Amino acid sequence: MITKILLGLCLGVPFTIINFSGYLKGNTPSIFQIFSSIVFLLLWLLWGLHYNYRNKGSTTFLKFSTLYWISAFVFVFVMNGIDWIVFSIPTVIIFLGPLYGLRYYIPNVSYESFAYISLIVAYAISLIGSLLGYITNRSLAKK
Amino acid sequence: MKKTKLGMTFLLVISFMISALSIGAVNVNAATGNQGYAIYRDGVFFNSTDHAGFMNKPDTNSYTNPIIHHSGDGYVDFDTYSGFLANNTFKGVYRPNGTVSSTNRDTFVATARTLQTEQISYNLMFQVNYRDFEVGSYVSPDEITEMRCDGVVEYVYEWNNFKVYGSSTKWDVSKATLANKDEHRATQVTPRSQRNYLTLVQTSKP
Repeated sequence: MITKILLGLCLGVPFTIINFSGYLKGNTPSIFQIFSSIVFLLLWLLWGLHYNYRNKGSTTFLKFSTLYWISAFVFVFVMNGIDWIVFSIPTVIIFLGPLYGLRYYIPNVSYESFAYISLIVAYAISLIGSLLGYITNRSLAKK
Repeated sequence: MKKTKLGMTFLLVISFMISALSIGAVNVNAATGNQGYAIYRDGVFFNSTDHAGFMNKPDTNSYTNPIIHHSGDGYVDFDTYSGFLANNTFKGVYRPNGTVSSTNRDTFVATARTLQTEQISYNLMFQVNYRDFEVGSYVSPDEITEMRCDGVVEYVYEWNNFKVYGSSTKWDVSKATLANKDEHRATQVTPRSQRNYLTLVQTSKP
């Protein structure tokens, strides 16, 4: 589980770097940044799909994904509550930065709402990946 | 007698014309509207803080290059109101505390315009960055290597002796000591907290 959490954190690094110039000043995401966030979500989808395809019936990825994204949700909730930039900066860089490209599709909501929406989307994508992995495994096993 | 009176009248007319011209010249240069004031909008780091800019012209409707700021990309530069806002929410126009004359505002504008010419890059860590020990007692615009958006406001006002943020001994960001530099480092002051050290002029679009 710890390995997965570390992998999850590392996975976001290149994408938060790409998106940094967007969320640093709240600028409209560039095409490259939109693409970066989509690729980040696709990687979570593929991760869930691959894990549940290889480990039929295992709930490890589901537990990990739930722990990861619920933690992110809690961090963002605290961030919005305490308004302390020393806490906000790492929270944004680690959890929200990789998802900033989605702002292009959701421009008219507050940043607080956008943060929650983007985390829910990421969690949902990872759950869909897990489900697809499980379904693929089952359908191939039948053949 | 008649000649003397005529001569006096001529002198008066000439002196009046010179006075009128000089008053006109002062008016051309004197800051008006919101010129020389700081401006802020939200939306930085998922709205964890704000973005700061500087009014180069009296308003943002009738002039070209109305704003000078550091957008995070490139250098300290001119921008439009929409470029500054970037679809975020405007928070207000602010001025330094105390009495600020039109002449003071002229000097603020002159300093900000100098920063614009110096090709100063962005830095998240320090409001104003420079090569330690390679500058004199004060950091002049040409010695600044990097700046943050709130550094533009802080530097412009404090270079001209108007205190914004900082303790009574370390407030001047343009004073080249490690203590003064450290006082304006990282999250000691942010664009959002910087507003608390200025006086609100208006919350509407300048």
